[in-house]
Amino acid sequence: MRERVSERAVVLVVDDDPDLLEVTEALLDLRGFAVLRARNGAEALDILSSLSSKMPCVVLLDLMMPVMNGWDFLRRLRGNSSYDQLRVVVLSAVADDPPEGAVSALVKPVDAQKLLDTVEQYC
Amino acid sequence: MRTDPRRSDIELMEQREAAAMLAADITALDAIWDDQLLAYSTANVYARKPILLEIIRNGRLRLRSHQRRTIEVTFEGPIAIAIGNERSDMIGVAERLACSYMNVWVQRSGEWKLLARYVGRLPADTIPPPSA
Repeated sequence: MRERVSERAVVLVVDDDPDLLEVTEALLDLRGFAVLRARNGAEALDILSSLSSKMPCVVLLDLMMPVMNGWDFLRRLRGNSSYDQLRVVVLSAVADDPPEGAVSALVKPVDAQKLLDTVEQYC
Repeated sequence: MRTDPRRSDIELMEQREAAAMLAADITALDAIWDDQLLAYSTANVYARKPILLEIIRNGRLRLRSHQRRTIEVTFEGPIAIAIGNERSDMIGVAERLACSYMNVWVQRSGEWKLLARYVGRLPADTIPPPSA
């Protein structure tokens, strides 16, 4: 369990489903992670560009989203060398395998334990 | 058609489980929930008993009010399926929660245990209070 808030590993969760954002944050909080939320790829890029130092250890990314979907987010992300080390796990009902630019894929509905195990693998 | 006499047992267990949720009573929930419990919601995340108990133990799910109304129960052997609706207020959450649910109960050694649960979130004003 991560103890000091200032040292908590950060996970960025990108999904247009507010219920999923809420449940995922509650689960990650159990394991001591701090959570940043974005409702689409554009919001996620804005959040990442606003971070001055500590980057998320992993991004949990939905694919089907309004404004900017997950595939476009990945293309934009991988086109910026500042984010070369940023790992992305896709969390979607439409991808059994990770698309280009992602390290792993989880299929919705997702097992809470598997979600936590996956995040802990990268953080 | 005669009502199955076991229906009142299930209705009692449904209210017992709801009361244990409201009280965040880990001991009671551990006894009521089957070890194989699988809970799934419209959030597209499902969880098993250990994580669910951990969420409640850590205070991530604390209810200020929780009302459950069982609408229908059907039986097949040692399995009972209950459907109904719930209204809840969570501590720290302004919005009132309303949902419909399906609970699957299994009878083991004469005791009913909650085996599976599906929760579908509804607009907060969908369900009138039980007294209405």
